[in-house]
Amino acid sequence: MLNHLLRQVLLLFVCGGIYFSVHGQKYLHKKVLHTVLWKISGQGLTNPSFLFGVDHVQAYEPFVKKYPQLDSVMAFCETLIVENIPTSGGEEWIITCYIFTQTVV
Amino acid sequence: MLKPDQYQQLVKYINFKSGNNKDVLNNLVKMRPQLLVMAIPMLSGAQLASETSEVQMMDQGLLQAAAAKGMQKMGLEDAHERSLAVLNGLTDKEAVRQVLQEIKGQSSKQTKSNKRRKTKNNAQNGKKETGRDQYDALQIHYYFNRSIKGNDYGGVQFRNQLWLGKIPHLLEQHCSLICVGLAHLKTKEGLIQQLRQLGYSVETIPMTATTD
Repeated sequence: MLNHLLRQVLLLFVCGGIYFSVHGQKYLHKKVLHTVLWKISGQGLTNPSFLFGVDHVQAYEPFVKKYPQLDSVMAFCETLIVENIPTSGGEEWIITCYIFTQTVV
Repeated sequence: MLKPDQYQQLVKYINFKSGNNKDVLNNLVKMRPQLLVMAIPMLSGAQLASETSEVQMMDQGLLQAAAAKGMQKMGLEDAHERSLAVLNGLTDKEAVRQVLQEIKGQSSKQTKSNKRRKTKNNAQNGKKETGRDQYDALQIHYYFNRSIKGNDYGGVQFRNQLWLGKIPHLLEQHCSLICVGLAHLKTKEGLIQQLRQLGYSVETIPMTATTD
């Protein structure tokens, strides 16, 4: 009886081991990074630039108060680049760096 | 594309969101389903902003802060490019499904507003959090080894590629803060991994919350 129970426990461990060796990789990918801010450098850049992952429906003011690093980075940068810039009223979306787009695209 | 009952559902939703604004209704019901996918969250966003007029949303706040600091402001795409991205990323059928899902999701949110408040309180007790709470706590999962699943909803992949054609030139010209939706960073096709592939060094900047 005890032998049978031990065999069952052993079998459970073996099955568990096989499962995690096969599926464990996907859990490793779920690494939590406590940031939404990144520094871009290299490739001969004289000054670094920064990348900020935005949640479009998050309120700005409380977030900046909570994470003042964002404000420090803004003070360091010359240009703010967003996905697209709204005109007055925010209903119609256009690009403001029109000349830039024409030269690059 | 929409069945009569779905059309009625859409009309009801637009009327509710726009405060029975006939112009908004007339413009939206004429749209291709793919463009509706893009317009409907904007309608929700506009309502959210009007309900909470004192609260400044992230993009608006960033633009105003940039103006106050005398920073130059630029956009990565124009309206034409944005609509191209949506049209390329979605079929009509998928777009209709997304629109109906959005309407269903929104109406269930309204009826379950109390439940949502409860969830927010639960978040403080270590229970299940909403996406917004997770962002606020910076508990974000990045999947740099994985590709975007399924259809390129909203044209994230398409837009990343479009932007990657412009970003290197911008980085050479200016010391910039590039602010894009978090969905544009997370995966193998995201800007972080793509910029690394172009030879840039992209490093995390740890963010710590102030204690008060």
